[in-house]
Amino acid sequence: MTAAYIIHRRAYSNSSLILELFSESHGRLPVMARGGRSATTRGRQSWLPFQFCQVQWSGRGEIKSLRSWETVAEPCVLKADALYCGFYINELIQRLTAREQAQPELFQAYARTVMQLAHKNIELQCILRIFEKQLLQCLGYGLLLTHAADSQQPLEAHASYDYQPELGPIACDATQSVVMRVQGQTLLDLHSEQFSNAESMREARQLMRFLLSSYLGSRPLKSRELFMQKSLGE
Amino acid sequence: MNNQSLLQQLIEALRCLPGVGPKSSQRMAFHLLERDRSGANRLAQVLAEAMRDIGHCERCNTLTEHPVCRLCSNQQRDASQLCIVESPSDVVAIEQATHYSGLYFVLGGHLSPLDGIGPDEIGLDKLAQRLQTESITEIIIATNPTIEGEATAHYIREMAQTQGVTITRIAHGVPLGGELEFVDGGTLSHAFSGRGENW
Repeated sequence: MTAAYIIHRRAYSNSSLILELFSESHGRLPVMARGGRSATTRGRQSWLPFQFCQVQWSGRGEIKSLRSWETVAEPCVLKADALYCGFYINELIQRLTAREQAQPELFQAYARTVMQLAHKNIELQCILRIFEKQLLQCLGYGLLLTHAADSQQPLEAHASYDYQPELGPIACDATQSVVMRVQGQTLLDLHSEQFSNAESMREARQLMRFLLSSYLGSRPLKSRELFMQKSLGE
Repeated sequence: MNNQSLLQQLIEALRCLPGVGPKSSQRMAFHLLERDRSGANRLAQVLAEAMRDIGHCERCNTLTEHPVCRLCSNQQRDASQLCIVESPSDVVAIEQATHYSGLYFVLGGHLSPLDGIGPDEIGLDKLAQRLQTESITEIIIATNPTIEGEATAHYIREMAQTQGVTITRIAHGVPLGGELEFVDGGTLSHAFSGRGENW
């Protein structure tokens, strides 16, 4: 048995379901739950995303067969905006991770994020930024948030930097035109995972969006459209 | 070109029906050819007509052969209530099971970003337009109790809040005749937190 979350589910043939799992031991992989949609089985499982479960599967092909499934904890019920955020993190996982590649650290980060989204004791924006940072870290694109990439000098809160993808922050003066200008404070806040003000939160959102876009390619994230109505961000 | 015999083509074509595999499609084909030719002719004719004529209602999006469907054009129905469902079959289910006398709006599915389905793909822009132009006082959201249905309901609620209408959602919980012991935890906790006084 391995710990997993359902990222997405889609109907397959008359009564089966294909569940896209994000598991601790094998990363993202699709499994088929035969008869998963039929209403005849008493006490049938409700295969819902964001539910922490223990699963066992078998098979060699791309789509495995689900052998057994147990929910361990209370289902994490995401509501309203937190649910949109849930879709967003699931879409990031689906788009950026390769199938069947174990990512135990990312799995832990994902589990923490889902828990936080369900309890909503931290601001949603903040939860997303931290998840994005950890996601990039786990994928090997970790951010440089403590010192400048060229001079190796520690970052200063009030200086402005040009953040270059896969390189890091490079000191620049306020008049220079650069692609991604951020304040030192924003980078330090991202590092400490505590946002000091709304401005640094806004900049962090822009920075993450800019960095993620280079890995996501040309197809935009669909879950962002959900937020457009109220422009909550990501 | 196609070197399959006509019989084989028929058997193959019948497999597009839900729940029909090679064996049953073969049975169906032989039954139609050997025992019920007139029924088969009628089926072929109605099927061709239905495929040609049935489209979506201009107002509610449900399936109909008229520009505006029977429900939308019925003056007896209460135009101040609008029930929002995911598919035309949901309209039929509600019509058969309840005494609801308002109008409907059929979405083209539910919001599912991971399948690439966003607000525009399911016709929410059309719904927004309708909310603005018509005098609707209550909208009843009857999307499925899946997380996608939940997200769709939330999106509609945000959209409609600015219009000053009452927004209600159908209740969900333990099925009639069911036993609590066998109901899954999520449903039970939902039923419990949404307990009501009208019973």
